[in-house]
Amino acid sequence: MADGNCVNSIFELFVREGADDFNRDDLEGYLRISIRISSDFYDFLTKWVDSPPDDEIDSIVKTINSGAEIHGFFDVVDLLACLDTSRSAHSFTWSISSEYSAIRQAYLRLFHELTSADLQFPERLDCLLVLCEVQLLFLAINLHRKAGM
Amino acid sequence: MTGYEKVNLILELFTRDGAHNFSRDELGNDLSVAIRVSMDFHDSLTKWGESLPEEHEVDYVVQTIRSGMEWFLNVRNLYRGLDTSGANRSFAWAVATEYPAIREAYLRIFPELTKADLKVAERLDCLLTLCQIQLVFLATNFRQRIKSHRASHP
Repeated sequence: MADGNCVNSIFELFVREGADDFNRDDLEGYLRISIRISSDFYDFLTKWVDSPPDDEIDSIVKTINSGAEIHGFFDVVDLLACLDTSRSAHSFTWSISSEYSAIRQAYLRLFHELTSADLQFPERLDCLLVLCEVQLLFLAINLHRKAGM
Repeated sequence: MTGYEKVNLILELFTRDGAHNFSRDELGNDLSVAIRVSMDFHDSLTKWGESLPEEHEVDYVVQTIRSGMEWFLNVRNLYRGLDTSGANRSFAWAVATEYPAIREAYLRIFPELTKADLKVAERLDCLLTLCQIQLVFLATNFRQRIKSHRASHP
């Protein structure tokens, strides 16, 4: 379970930078689920340096699925689609990999960037979206594990 | 054979071989939806050829796959509940994220679903691999929605 303080502090960074364009309730609806699930996945990767047990993988796969299936991750996409990102100076990329160690390394690096104080709103949103992307790939790989990790 | 006929054939094969393994709900809901979504993706890949189409078409397919996610996980649970010790064939896929590799693998594996001589565990393995490929496609293309939105709202 993600640390509630961590989720709240990331959410407040979004509120601080996005206050001119969005009210708190809108951001709550769009972002809270994705931040929480992304924090849960961060905790999972922090706990399991390599070879997570099957039941732990099952649990986090269900969590990620809940974030992708209905709202959550796709709300982040919709929000970013409406923004002017022409002044964004940071971009957040990762080399797509199906290896657990590479996914873990990329995710932990990106998650720390999400908590950086000096990002603009669209940049932080882009960072969150890349984290969602990594989680979706992890979900895909582990849907049928013998073909993946 | 039309796509509709193929879906029915695959469902009949699951029913024929798996009547003792699956409940009516599992056949009528979980497998049925997963097969239909998988058929749609097959049709899209066939139509698109070797290059991705415009963003809005990709987004439409991504949303279709998204609508099947709950059922894909249910298929995974069905597979885990089966005795797979008698399975001789495996449909393992080396995960790739480039569109041509995804398309090649999907179009190669999909026809196996309709083969009459698969055991139920093998057919479910095949379907689950197809679901997995679709989720990789979703993961690597869900950003297309941004481009699609911006193209329609310049």
